[in-house]
Amino acid sequence: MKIPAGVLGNWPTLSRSPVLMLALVALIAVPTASAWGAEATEAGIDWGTMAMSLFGGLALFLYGMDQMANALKAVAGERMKDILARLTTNRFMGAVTGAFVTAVINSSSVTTVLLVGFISAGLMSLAQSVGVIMGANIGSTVTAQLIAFKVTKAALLMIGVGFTMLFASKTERIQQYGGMLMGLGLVFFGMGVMSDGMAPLRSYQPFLDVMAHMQSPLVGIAVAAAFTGLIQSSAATTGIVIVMASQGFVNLPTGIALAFGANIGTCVTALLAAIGKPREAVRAALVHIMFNVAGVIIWVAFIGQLADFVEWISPKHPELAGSARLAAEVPRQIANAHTLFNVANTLLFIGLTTQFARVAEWLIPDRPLGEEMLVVRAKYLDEDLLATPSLALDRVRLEALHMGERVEEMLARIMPAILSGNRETLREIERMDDAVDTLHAQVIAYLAKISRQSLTEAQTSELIRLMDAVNDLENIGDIIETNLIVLGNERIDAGVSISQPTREVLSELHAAVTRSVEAAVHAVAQRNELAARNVTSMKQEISRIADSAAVHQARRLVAEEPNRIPAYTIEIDIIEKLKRIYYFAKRMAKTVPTGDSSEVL
Amino acid sequence: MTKAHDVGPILVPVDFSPSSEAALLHAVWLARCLDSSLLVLHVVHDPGTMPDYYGKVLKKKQLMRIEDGAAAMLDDLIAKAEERYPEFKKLKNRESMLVKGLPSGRILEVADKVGASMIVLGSKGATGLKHLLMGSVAEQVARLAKIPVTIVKSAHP
Repeated sequence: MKIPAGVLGNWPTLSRSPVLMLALVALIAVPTASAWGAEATEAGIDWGTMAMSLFGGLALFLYGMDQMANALKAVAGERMKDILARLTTNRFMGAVTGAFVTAVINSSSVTTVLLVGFISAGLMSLAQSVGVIMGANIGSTVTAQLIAFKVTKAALLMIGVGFTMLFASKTERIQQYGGMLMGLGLVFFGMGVMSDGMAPLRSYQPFLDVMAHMQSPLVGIAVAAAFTGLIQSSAATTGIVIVMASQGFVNLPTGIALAFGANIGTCVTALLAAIGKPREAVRAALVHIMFNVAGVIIWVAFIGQLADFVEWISPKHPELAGSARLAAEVPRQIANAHTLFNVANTLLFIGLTTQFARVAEWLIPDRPLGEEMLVVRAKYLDEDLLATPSLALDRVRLEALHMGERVEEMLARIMPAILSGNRETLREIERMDDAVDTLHAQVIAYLAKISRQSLTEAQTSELIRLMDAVNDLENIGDIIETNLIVLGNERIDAGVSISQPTREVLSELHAAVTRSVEAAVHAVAQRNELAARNVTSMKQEISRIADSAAVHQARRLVAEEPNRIPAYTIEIDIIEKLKRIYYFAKRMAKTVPTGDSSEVL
Repeated sequence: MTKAHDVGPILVPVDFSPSSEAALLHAVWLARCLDSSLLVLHVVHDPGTMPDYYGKVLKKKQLMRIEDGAAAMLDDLIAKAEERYPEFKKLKNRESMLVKGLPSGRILEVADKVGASMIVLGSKGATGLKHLLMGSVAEQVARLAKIPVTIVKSAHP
């Protein structure tokens, strides 16, 4: 099973600079600006230094998270992807796997983006994914647990050791572990810097008043959800909450409300990943939102009870007093509450995955029945005929025609799409190649079965020729799916519009190549020697049109037009790929036995 | 679509349950009586109603697309039906189709698209709370279809 590259290569990262910058500015601006406005002359606070510490500390913290996540992905990503795809056959396994994978790669966003990819590729169902989403919520609390250790003192040591491993070692693996350690060190160091920077605020009344507003759970939830949505990392939000708790700004109930908000905000990533994906993937993102929001709604009335319970189970420091005791106890309590809340929700809702899925199906109904909804299957490959190889080989020819019709349709649609189509049309054509690949796989499997029968020499060579022909046909589909689609997207990216004369030249070549492919498919399907000869004899015509097209392009290169160079590159590439398609059509035609070599099967 | 006597095919949506096998058998009998063609349909749905639905097939070959698993199961169902019921094999005008989507809606759309003369489908007859929560595909189809619908409940017609 081939996993489409785009599906898995799409790791999310914190390094979306505009969003990140906005988030940083927002975070810094809220407390400082309100404090400025209140009473900037309050004695003892150096606002410049504090803003720098907060901003710099947060930057280090987020950069460390990103660095750590990237290193973890490099170390364990592939393995985790595999585990996620294979071990999620039911919702319970899904939850366990989701929690494990998320804990290891340190990001629930990565897990959900992977999920959306798997669902889009048809590898995983909505029901399977719901369990994983629930598990991912639990897994993401592991980061908060780690942060609550507050090993700030060891931060510089971690950075030092990590840096040495990263730059002194030649082994890639050690470098990756070094990157991970350095990232973790930066997270703790950033927390320390923020923490120190915030310290003067402890005695600054206007700030304490602002924080008092946060004690209303709904405000806390909204602020944390918005912040998490913006920076797309719930772990970062809980990390910051823990920093604030360690300074005594946030008490346990407020911390819990903020963690709840982080759970809601994290859904934004899944939603973004699902844009433009099949309905099933959008439904999964919706289930993620429903689950996380429903969990919060249920628990918001019980924040007090949850806080009591967490205080009871978390380690206590009776030797300390006042804010020092809060600072020592609350971070762990918040982390525990976050974990507990997510575990409880999973236990509560895992029996209701079907209902969640149903509601999502109801809210996001199917698109109307179209060709792409029909699962393409081989029409003619009858297993009963295997015992009679000559009949079975006839069936393969019919199936090659079936496959050829699909390739012809792709080819017919690609040219207008490259010249003036939109991304959606290009995506549709790209998807059509899935059907070609499926048919190709089925034909090859059927040919393999035929080859196990006892065959005459003529049948064996016919079998090999047919195998070559369907491979060539599949190659044509691939050229369209990969190269030509990419050119279409490049044309859109570069904002190039193709001029009328160039359209005419390219369309002429495209029409000739399309004719050659049609003739080649016809030749193979009917063992039609004449059609095959037609294909080979088109060589000069195609070369002539391609050459004159290239000359036309070269002439236009000097024309005074915007985007001339990118347009030229794209147009020349189109000509090359069309020539390549003709090359495969010619190869297909050559698999048709000529008069003197055609045998009776 | 092949049409005998200009009558559309009998559409048999199957979900691999015993009741849908009974429905298939009933539809074969009807097709023979009416000299009609038969279209066996499976909607490759997200198995939200029953996790592990395609599990049997998918576990064996890991990292397999759900639709490929469903295709294998449909082929298997037809092969077994041919083996068990010789009259099914004798039926000349029969085809099978796989469509992706939500079952009840897709069944109605396919019926419309192929101009089916009737729909024959099985129902497990869920009762109580489950019925209240889930409804039933058969019921929805019966309620919304513009053509006659036969619901087969027993596994032993």
